[in-house]
Formats: sequence, C-alpha cells, structure tokens
Amino acid sequence: MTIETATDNKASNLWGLANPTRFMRFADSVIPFCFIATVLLFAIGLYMSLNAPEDYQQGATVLIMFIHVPAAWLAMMTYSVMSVSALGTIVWRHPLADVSLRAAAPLGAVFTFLALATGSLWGKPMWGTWWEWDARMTSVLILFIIYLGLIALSKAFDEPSEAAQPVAVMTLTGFVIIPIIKFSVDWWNTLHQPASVSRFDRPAMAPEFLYPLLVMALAYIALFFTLHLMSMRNEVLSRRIRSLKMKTARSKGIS
Amino acid sequence: MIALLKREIVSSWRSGSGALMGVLFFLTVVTVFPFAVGPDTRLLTQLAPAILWIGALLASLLGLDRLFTQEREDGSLDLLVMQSHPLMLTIFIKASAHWFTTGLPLVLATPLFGIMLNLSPAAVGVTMVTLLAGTPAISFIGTVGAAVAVKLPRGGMLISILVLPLVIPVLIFGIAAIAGASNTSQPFTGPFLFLCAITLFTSVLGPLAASVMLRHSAD
Amino acid sequence: MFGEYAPFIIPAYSLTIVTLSGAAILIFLNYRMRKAELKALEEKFKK
Repeated sequence: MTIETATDNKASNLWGLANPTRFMRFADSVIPFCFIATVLLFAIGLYMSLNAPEDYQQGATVLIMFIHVPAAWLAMMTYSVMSVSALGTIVWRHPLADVSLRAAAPLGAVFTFLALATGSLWGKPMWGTWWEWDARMTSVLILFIIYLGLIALSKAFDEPSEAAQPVAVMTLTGFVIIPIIKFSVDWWNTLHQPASVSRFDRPAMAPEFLYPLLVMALAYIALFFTLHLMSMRNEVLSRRIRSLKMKTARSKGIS
Repeated sequence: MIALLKREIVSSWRSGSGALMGVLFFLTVVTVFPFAVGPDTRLLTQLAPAILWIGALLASLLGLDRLFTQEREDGSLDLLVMQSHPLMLTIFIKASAHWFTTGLPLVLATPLFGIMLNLSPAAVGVTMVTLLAGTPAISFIGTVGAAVAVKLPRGGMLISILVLPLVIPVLIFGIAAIAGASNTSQPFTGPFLFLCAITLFTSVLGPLAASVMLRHSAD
Repeated sequence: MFGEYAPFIIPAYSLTIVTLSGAAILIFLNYRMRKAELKALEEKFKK
C-alpha cells in the first residue's frame, strides 16, 4: 500500500510522520524542547514588555498590546494551520491531518477568546468602549463562532473518523474570514487601528515597542507548537484507547 | 436539468416546509420584534430593514437540513453522486430550488411586512432588491452546511451555527446597501455590487464544497 | 505601578497567564490520564 512505501522515506517529510507510532516518538522527543523554548521566550518577552517605555498617547496601556496582538495573530495562524490540515485530509489524505485539525481547534478558540478579552480591556481605557461593532472586532468575533462551530461539528459524530471530511470541508469554507479580518481595517475606516506591523514597507512602530512585540509573538508561536503537538499526542492516544476498547468488546462478545 | 429543478420545487412545496412555512416564520419574526422593541413607529422604521433581513436570514436557514436528507433516507444520494451529470450542477439546481421555495417567497412577502413595520414604499423597494440579491447567497452557503451534516440525525441547529457566521457578511452588505439608498451620504452601489459578487462567488464555491463533501461520503 | 490603568492591565495579563497555563496543564493532565488508561487496557487485553 502506498502509505508503507511513503513512510520508508526519511521522517524529514510529512509522510514520514504519517505513521502514528513514528509521530508519537517524534512528538515525545520534540515537545520538551518546544516547552523550554516557550518558557524562555515568554520570560524574555515579558521582561522586555514590562520594561517598555510608556507610549506618548496610550500611557501604560500599551502593555496590553504585547498580549493582545500576539493572541490575535495566533488566532489567525491557528486557523491557517487548520486549513492546511484540512487540505491534508481532503486532497492528500494524510492520516494525521485530521488529528492535527482537531487538536488545533480548541487552541484557536482560546487564542481568539484572549484576543477579544484583552482587546476589550485595552479598548475601555483607550477609546472609552468595552466593545464596538467595528469591522475587525466583528470579524474576529465571527472567527470565534466559527471555531466553536467546528468544535461542535467534530463532536457531533459518533465515530471520530466520520467527522474528518465534514470538519475539513467546513474549515476550508470558513477560511474566507481570515482575509476579511486582515484587510478589514483597510477596507472599512472604523475604530480599530490600521495595520502598523505587517505592511509591505517598513513597520510603522518604534523599535522599543516592536522588539518586545516580536519576542512575545515568537513566544506565543512556540506555545502553540508545544500545545499543538501535545494535543495531537493526546488525540492519537485516545484513538488507540477507542480501538482497543472495541477490540476487547468484540473478543468478549465472541468468547 | 429543468426536470430536476421542477421536481425539487414540487417536492419542496409538497413537503409543506416550503414557501408557506418560510413566510409564516418570517411573519412571526416580524411580529415579535415590535412586541420586544415597543410600538414607537419611528424606531420601527429605523429598525425595519434589519428586522426584515434577520427574518429572511433565519427563515432561509430553515429547511437547509432537509436539502439532502431525503435523498439520503431513500438511498438515492449515492445515485445522485454517481450520475453522469456533474454533481456540482445537480447541487446548484437543488440550492436554486431551495431559494425558489424559501428565499424568493420572502422577497415577495417583503412589501406586506415592510408596511407593517412602517417602511416607506421606496425603502421597501430597496430592501426587496437587496434581499433578492442576497438571499441566494444564503442558500448557496447553506448547501455546504447541509452536505457536511447530512449524516447527523439532528443536524438542523448545528447547520445554522456553522452557516450563520459565514452569511454575516451578506447581512452586513445588505444593510449597508439599504442605508446607502436612504442616506445620500453613504454609497449604495458599492455594498450592492459586493452583495451580487458574493452571490455569484458562492453560487460556484458552495456547490463545489458540497460536492466534495458528498462525493467523499458516498465512497 | 501602572498608575491609573492598573485595573485594565492586571486583569488582562492575569487572564492571559491563567488561561494559557491552564490550557497547558489541562492538556498535560489529559496526556497522563490517557497514557494510564491505555496501559490498563493493554494489560487487560494481554490477559
């Protein structure tokens, strides 16, 4: 069968990890390093953030930017990871693609929730409102609902493998919200700040704010990798448990 | 293809949950709002386009779960997938039939409900036009939700949860177009063209995604 | 320390830290639980 020959290749390509056992060994060896990297990056990032100067306009509340912006970036990055996983399920039928998608969805929901909550706490002192129905905030809220809907869909099937294709198709359908979030601050001139980092020319932020932000962003990304791999490990384990339970039930039934 | 369209429309009408039920639901929503909001006619006039759009949205979500379940129950879903006609086209026809029996009657019922909500005739006209341009998008996006949840016994609410976030942009552009038509400082053509674009875009992508889903589940 | 903005900054940071570490802890505890369950099942199956 094709999968056996594919996994003969080096584990350097994704098909090398298609074998769940090999993936588990890979995860077990990589996760501790990811965890250490995460802790280090957070330590450095928090130190840099809390020592950043006060912003001329925003005062100390600029500190919230260092946890709000990375959360929002991760909310979108997680959905992109999920979308690539969805393609893995639909187009390439990679065995672990569905595991990756299911593991990432709750993480994405958490990041989106944090983006919304910290954004609200930033908005109240800055612009006087806890919430505004402006373009970016509304589309991030929509992203949150999409995450929750996907999680609900994945739990609605009796057999986890049955859920793989529906969740993948729905994930890709929902991807349209990502460019809407990205460009919403350009298309609609409303309350939320326009892009100042990911512009095509030089970022418009001063270095004393940009560097802590970038370090915190790296910390969040490292955290995502760690939690995602850990979560995928759990999902593989739970599938094994499930199939063992079915085997014992069957053998008990026969004997 | 015309035969399929006719058959879809007839079966939708007959199943009773077709046009009449959608319009009745629309009526219920339109009636409930003034009770909640109060009979202040000026407030109702302001809210009327939103109430009509929300009503049309919710009523269109009804009946999405029945889009494919009947075929699944009698086993003809596999036949549909294996036909020589492109599956996408078949799904497009089914979605259009859904719109004919759900979205279109809502558009036609708008004048009556608009008057009930104290909308001016011009505003009623604009609302009808935006609903006409936007409700097909709801049907097309809905087919993906219906295809994805076809094997679930109580998929109806889940389909609504999945489809609603995706149709919010349709709602936003619809309301923006209406606001633009009545308020000269805001544009009408921009949002309206976006609305038409979304409908055209989803008329292709919706059936495409649904066909990917159904083809897999038939394997 | 953060002046007048403390009631916003402190909840934001604490919410973030609690949520993210909570997620990590939950995932880790889940891992231990499933590993134990798998081991128990494998023992039973071998018998």
